[in-house]
Amino acid sequence: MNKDLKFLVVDDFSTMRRIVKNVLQDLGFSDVTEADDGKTALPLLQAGSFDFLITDWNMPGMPGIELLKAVRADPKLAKLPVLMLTAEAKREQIVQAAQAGVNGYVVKPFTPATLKEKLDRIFDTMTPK
Amino acid sequence: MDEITARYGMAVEKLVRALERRDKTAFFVALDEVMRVRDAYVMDRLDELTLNLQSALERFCTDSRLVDLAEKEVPDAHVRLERVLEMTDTAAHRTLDLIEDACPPADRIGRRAGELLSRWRAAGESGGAPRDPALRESVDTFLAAVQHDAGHVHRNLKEVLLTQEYQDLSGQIIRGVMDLIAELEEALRVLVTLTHRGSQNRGSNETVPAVGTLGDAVGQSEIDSLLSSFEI
Repeated sequence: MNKDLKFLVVDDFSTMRRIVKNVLQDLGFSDVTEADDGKTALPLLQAGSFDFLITDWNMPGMPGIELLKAVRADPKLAKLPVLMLTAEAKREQIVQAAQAGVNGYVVKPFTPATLKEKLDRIFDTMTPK
Repeated sequence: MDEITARYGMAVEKLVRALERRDKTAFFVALDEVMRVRDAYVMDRLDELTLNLQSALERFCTDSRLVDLAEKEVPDAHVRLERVLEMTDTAAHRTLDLIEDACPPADRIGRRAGELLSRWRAAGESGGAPRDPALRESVDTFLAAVQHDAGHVHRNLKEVLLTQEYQDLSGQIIRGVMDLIAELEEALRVLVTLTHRGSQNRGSNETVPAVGTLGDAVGQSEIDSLLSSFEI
């Protein structure tokens, strides 16, 4: 697993962004940027060279599902691994995310072990950097 | 059924008799009579409903509770929930600050204890440690315990970090309730405007009742002064 991967963590609750950042750091990933909404995240993704996106669903400006669709619609970002980390656990939303091209889905409250497992599963499908 | 018989009985009887006699003119006259009775019944019911609605509206207009709800209590509820969100956010961040500050020392102590324990045991085997067996045993036990306990503290700190997740989950629920309250507030405002023409809109009160702003809160020294005036 490449520990130099550049992560973008998107959540409208700053405490959650901080928790995810801490968990990623414990897993060895120190390059973690934060954004508070899909709206602020998209320009960062388009401008920066992020390797991984972790996003919440419910955000006031641009919800995570819309961010995911925008990423998949952009030729420069279409292949970006995206993991949704959200309290939304309704079946139709999970299906919607899967159909929109999400790579992983973790429901809150989560454990570091679950996050690691889902990340590993996505890394296994990624081409080496 | 008795009421229906009383209302329609005679007209229907005339209708049936006209039908039996095969009297076309009498039949249609009787039919008109039945329809007239029916229309009169519907009008009576409408009059009754209109009177009930009018008195309900009058009670509605004079009910000051509606004004209180729309102009004070519902906006206050919104402000209170906003305050809860702020408080939990501040508390969660403060907890995260302290955890992030405490984890490195806990980690360092554990690591150093482990390193020292290895060196101590190696010194013991090569004859470099103190001869007193009780002392050697105590130091060995102590270093092992420090290594173990530091790891335990570190793990617990990480667990505390993760539990701050409550702030996100509870915050989302609170925001959902706040959205609902905002809709209710708007609906009530429209209702009050329609039914209480001329009432002043006092706007939402930014100071949360019974939970004062920092400026309004009485500090400990002021409490002590006040109590001392009662010789407490």
